[in-house]
Amino acid sequence: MNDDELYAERLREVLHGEGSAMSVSDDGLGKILQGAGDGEPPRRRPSWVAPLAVAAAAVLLLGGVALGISLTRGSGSPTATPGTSGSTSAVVSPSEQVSQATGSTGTSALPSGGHSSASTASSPTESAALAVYYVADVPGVGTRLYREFHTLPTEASPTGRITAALDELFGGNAVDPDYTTLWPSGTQALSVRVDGDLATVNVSDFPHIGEQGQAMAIQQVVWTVTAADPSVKRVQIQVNGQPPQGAASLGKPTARGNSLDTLANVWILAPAEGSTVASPVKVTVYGTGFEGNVIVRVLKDDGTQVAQKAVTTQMGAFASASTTFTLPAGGYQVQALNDNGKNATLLLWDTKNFTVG
Amino acid sequence: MPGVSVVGRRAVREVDAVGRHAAPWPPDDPHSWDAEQAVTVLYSGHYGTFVRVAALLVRDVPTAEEVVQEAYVGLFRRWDRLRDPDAAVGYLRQAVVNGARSVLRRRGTAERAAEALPATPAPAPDPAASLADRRAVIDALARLPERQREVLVLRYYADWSEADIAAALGISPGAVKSYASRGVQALRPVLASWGQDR
Repeated sequence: MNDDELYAERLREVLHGEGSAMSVSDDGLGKILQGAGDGEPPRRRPSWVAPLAVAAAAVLLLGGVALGISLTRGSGSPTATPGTSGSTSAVVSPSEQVSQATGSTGTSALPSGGHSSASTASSPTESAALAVYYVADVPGVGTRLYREFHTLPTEASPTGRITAALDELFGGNAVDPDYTTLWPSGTQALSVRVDGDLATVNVSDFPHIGEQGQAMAIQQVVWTVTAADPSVKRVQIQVNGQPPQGAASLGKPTARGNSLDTLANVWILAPAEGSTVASPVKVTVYGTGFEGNVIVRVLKDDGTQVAQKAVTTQMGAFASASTTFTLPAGGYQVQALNDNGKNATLLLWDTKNFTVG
Repeated sequence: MPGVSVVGRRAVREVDAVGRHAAPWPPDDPHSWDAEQAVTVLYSGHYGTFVRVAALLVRDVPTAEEVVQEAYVGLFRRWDRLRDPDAAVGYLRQAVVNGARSVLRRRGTAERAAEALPATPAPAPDPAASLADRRAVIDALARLPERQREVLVLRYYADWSEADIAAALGISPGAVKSYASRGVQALRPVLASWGQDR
């Protein structure tokens, strides 16, 4: 290390020490949305989102907390935001922006003959918020998918986005410590090819965890790939160019599984894992349950339950809902459960640990 | 996750028929988000970091929060034109840096002069007192020319790429390198005494 690098490293250490000593209050989102609403005409909203948006708007405008969606890997760490090459991060004119957005949906700008990761080697890089589907074991249910948004450097193409999301998935770096990946560590996406609605993903390794586990590992890939490129509806896995060893069905094109059998039935969106929040604490869940009921419990860090409330999402469809708890300073865990409505038994779907400052 | 009393898959099956096509909120595809969804997700991912970046520039967390909140309000109002979360982060970067710069300019020459010339001399660097040392570096940073200070914070705290810093400040990547190099050089005396014997 030369002198310049040594001093730069010291400066980095000083700035990070100073940054982590700062206490940032957690009521910013409410203020932002309130400020955005001041003097503004009613906002245009796509019709499909209306029912959820009403609930979401109520959630957001009443209190305003950070939803626990992890846009950045390790969002608590200021060093974790990957840089980008800047080609898309500058503010450009509205017309350029519209065409850019259209192109990156992957529906209108694709070459008719399909496209592959090899052909995008010269694409500019960008930084994109990509959905990554991890898994957790739910007692009494089995393995289910949980989503986090991670901001990742990626080539500015659908296959580039797919590859970046898959590498993140295989890396298993979920923010929530309960979430993991079924794929062996070191697995890489060797190539990605998209033909019409079919993506063929060639990977370097495949989990040896039984057929049921392998099917769920493939669902991790399918949900993540179809999120990164919405034009993709089916995914075919190859392992070093060959069909995966095991059941013949593993090598066939696979679509997203039925969401109620594949996704966790309840996700906690806020508070975020490991976050420090102010009381009253707004807890936001996303999910479904019998008659829409989701039970939210708050436990102290010694395991004693201090509060429990029921919130209403939707029955048979996923929706967000929230409730508020007034809590003294300390460490807590929030749990989200749903009820089958038959014999008062509950399934525990998600937990987040947080601190009230 | 701790164990709880459990139930089989039957209850889940009961809602299967209508739930088959349920989609997560917000939608997987960020380009389909409305302004509220975009701001909510980008808040969750970046707000804390932006506030700390702004606070390192304006040296005051509440003011930094206002600067960053204004940037997000601006994003909300422009979302229908942007429609791209990646470009939105670029917009926020630029808005936060500009907002911090405006605050410093509004504070006026008198206050900045007072900050630059503290009434009492800075305490002698003490290797055991890293907090005091850190203050000394931060104080020295505040006395640097505007561009040098911005580049150092964005490069060595926010870890933005040269291209991102260049875009946010409206300068060339070469200029980013040059400001960074000159800024580190200017801080050498205070950095030389920091971090020794640790």
